[in-house]
Amino acid sequence: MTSNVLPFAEFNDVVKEYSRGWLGRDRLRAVDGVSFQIEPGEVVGLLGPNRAGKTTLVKLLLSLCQPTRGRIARFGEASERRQTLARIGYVHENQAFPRYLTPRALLEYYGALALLPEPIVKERVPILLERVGLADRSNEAIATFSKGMIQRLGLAQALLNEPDLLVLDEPSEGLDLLGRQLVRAVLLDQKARGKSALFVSHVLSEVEMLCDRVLVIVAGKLVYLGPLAELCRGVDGSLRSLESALQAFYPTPLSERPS
Amino acid sequence: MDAPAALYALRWLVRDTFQQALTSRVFWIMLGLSGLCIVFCLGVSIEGGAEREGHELFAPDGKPLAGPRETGRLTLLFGLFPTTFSREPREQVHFLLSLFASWVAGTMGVLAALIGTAGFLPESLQPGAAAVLLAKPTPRWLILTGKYLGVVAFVGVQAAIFFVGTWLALGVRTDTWEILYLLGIPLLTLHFAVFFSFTVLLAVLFRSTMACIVGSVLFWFVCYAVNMGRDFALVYDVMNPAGEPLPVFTTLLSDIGYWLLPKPADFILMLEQALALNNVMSTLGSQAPFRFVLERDQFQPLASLATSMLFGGFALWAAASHLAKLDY
Repeated sequence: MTSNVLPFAEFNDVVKEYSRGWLGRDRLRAVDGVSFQIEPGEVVGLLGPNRAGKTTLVKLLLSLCQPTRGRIARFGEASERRQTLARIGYVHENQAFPRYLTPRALLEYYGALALLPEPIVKERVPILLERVGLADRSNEAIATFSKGMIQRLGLAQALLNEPDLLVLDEPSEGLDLLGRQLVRAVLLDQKARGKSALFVSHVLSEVEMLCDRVLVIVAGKLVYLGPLAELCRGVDGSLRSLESALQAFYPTPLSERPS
Repeated sequence: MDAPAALYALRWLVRDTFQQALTSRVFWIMLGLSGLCIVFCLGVSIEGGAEREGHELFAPDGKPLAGPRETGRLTLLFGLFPTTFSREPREQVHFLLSLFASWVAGTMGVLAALIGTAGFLPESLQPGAAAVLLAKPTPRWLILTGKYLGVVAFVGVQAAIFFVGTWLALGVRTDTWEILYLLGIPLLTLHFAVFFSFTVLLAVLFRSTMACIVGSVLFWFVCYAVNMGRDFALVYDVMNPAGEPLPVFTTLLSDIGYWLLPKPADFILMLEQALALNNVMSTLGSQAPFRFVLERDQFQPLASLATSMLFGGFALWAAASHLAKLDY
């Protein structure tokens, strides 16, 4: 990685607090002083237990919420500049697309919102529908689709702008074997083309297979940032599984708590 | 932002919202209600009628005519309900037009449209639906504007179906073609657009369909009351010639409220004025205090329209500003 290339994403001591309770006087700190970078050409895994702050981190990256403190930059520019979002593709964990649209119409709609020129959208839509295996159902209402098909459609809309940074928030949720293979192929292709991805997943085998580096976040704090291999190396130098490595950061497993 | 790309995005936002409305029950309910009114008009027939000069049930001095002569025959629902009337035939058609313009479309239609479309924005702003949408580079204000225009376009089409349908049906049955009746299409759409901007603000603030329905309907009635209250204050001396004059504070307050808020009664009065329905008894303009305001030439339609639209613009701006800072 060359040092003169700007990181695709950069978090600098970012804090995010949500207001809670009566009159919003209570504060819940979802992200606590997080700093990291995503460089071109790498796939970064984002791991952590439920309610650790992973989704908030993703939302901050996509300007879906604003940081309470700290600085976020995308492609070297402050996150206030929404134009930089045109270089990002995003798959949400629970996508709710308009049920009355067809996949073709949905992709054209989202392509328009990505501020892509109309001819480019028209050219890419059939190619992407073919790629995610929905070409033969491109004119059916989304209302008739299964969760897996909706996830594949979500992946297609995220790829419309040929993103430099792909943000996948639990993309394998509800996907069958073919769908999971598709996600893997997309991520490997992204890496091969010198582009990046932030991959949020609870499926550790996928993270092990695809990610170059991992971020581990627990209770809003970044507890590990580095190569996967290093995380899986024990203090004595022996190799351990990712699951055992993560166990060190996570709270006491539910199975080991007194009944 | 690239202008063609922004326009393309706006076009899709309008189209999506329009399609959302078309596939909802609201479309069929509103179409059904318009259809009922059109069938009602097709079932009307008018024969005979009194010949009067200008004022239908009033003498030229404004006093009601004593013992109206019932020389006309009106049948409703394809002859099922025969009745008589004492107006000139053309005035009888005006009477029906005023019922449709003032009460069915101007009042019930606007309220029904507000209730029916209140859920569109909260639905689009739910986290699951909005997250991917708002993660796109399109500015949030543009997304809100597109959604707003989509709903307004949908109501505009419904208004066109209603006004053109009832105009054609009554025209065919009575051979009275009041082209100005079609001014109801832009006026009703504008009336709705002003109040829907408040619904948009509620949607952004609460993201709840129920809050939007209750808030919008309540707001419409409050505005109607303020509109009527200010007109009442304006002609208080005519309505209560023997009474004490109103305190200055009351008239000032009613004036401020009137000019700041949208004016639903004025929208209806504007349509009645355009149709020259001043003397038809069923109109809003024939009821106190509006009648006295019109008689004293104190109705200012252009200023009223402009300030109502200004309120709409302000509500939309407030909604867009809030949405821009909203955490998802």
